[in-house]
Amino acid sequence: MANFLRLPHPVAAAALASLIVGGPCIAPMSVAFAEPGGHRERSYQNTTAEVEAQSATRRHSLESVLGREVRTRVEEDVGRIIDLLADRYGHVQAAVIEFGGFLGIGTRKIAVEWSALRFEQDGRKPVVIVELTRDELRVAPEYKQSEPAIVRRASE
Amino acid sequence: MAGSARGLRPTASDLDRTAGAPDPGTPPRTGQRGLDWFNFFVADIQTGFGPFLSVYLTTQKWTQVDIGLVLSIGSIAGLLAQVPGGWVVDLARSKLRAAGLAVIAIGLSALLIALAPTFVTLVAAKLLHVGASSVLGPAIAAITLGLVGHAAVAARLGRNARFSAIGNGLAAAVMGACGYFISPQAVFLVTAALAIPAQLALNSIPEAAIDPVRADGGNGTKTEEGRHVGHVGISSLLRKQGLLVFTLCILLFHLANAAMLPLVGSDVTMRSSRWATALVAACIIAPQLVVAAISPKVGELAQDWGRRPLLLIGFGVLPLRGALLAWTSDPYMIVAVQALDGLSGAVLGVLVPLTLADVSRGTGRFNLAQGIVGCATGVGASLSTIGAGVLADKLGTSIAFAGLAAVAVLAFAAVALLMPETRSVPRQDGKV
Repeated sequence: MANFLRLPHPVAAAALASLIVGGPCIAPMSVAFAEPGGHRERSYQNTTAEVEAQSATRRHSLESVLGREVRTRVEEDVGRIIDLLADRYGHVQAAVIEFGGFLGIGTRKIAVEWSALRFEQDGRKPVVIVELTRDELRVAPEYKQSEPAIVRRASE
Repeated sequence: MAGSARGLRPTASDLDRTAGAPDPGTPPRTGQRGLDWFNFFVADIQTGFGPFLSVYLTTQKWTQVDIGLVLSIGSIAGLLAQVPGGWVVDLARSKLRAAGLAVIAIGLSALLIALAPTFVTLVAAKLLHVGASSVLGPAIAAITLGLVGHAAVAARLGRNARFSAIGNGLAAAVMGACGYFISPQAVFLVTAALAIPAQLALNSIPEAAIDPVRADGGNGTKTEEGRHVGHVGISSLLRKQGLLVFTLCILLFHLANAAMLPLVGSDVTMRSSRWATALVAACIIAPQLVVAAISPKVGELAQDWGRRPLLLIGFGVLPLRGALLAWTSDPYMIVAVQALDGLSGAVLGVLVPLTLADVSRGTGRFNLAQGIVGCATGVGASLSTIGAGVLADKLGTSIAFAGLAAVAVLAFAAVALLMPETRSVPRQDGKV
């Protein structure tokens, strides 16, 4: 069981809730980031339009990861991210994934190490690839909100 | 549609025209087919509102806290609504109208869930749904009793259970596929759309075919215009022999039963890798096939043998199922054991409304009695999932199944030792 990382209790409880500022329904938003190192002379007084006009800026599409589909490497549909677990410094350590069951009956929740997840695109649809097999996931210990999270780490 | 085709027959069209009640002795032919389809579509529209709602809200980027809150509000409101729901159906002049309004409310609720999944609309939709369901359940049984009368109600309840099981099984398969291949949102749009055929089926049952006094379990005598005549006080309903004992039996049954399927589902999800989804689906659908196959026979036997032998079979299967689930770990064996649930399901589906019709006979409070037992069902089911969840967490799934089996033994003992036979012996003149 060396593959399981035990997070201290209060840390596990500090979940994603604070990240979800807009309530249950958040539209995907686009944010313009300045290219590192470029245009340092530009002051903060720039309007948004001016910033967007800069050729040196890059548009990042930021989207909520809640509800995002999770698959294994071999394209198996596994489940969805339903929560994130952060440590006391605010660094996200694990994602809670819900999978299995039928019509919501018999689903299981497990916590998977954040670094075991790869964020990729399937056409226009963002998906998360988990670096574990279906069999490794299904036997991982159940995640329970009231107990210290046992996190499934990536298998090497 | 079936109703209008049958309306061409002289007997049926006569029935349509007469404002008064049909002759209690002969069950009318008209309306039977409509009631079949109504049972079928109501079972369909209730499928998406179960645990699937939380899957859908997850895809709508809801947090677990908000999902838990909405579901808790829904289940508490659902418990509180049962008794008032039954009480309202007793007072409703038209049981068909009550059922129709409930179906519209459920369709509206599904539409709200599909189109505007915000916290406030979801709470509203959930309240609308539980309120409507608390009316719809008793109303279907009331329509049934009002349509065929006490003498023929056992067989007709068997037929109801068959059509709702077909609806349940088919809807689980179709909606599961719909959620998987199209989108979880599509499930609620389909649900809202299915309210239309449900309404059409209901419309094909002629109002005149439903005797409102008989539908409340009234004694059949009514004054010129007094529809409330024959509604006894609530306290004298509660004093009816068997009602409280039966309520206790049903509470214990659901305390033992409700957590079994979710536990089975997560157990199968853990044990089987490739076929988990199909196996969990089989665990849900297989019992419905059994119910569809045997319920009419259960209705028939309940009339021939009496109620007690069937209740003992239905309650007796439950501890056996719990014990087998505690013992086996093979996913395919689990599906086979789950099919036993169909036996209990058929017995409960027929015998709950039937026993209540027996017990409340002459009180005009048939639907209130259904509300009381509905509340007991909800309390038992909620405590079951909480209790079994704790047991499974602390001591493992097998111990949880064993615990549920122990409660099931208690439920069986309650039926065996306390529950009287409620079938009334037909009178000499043939009228029942």
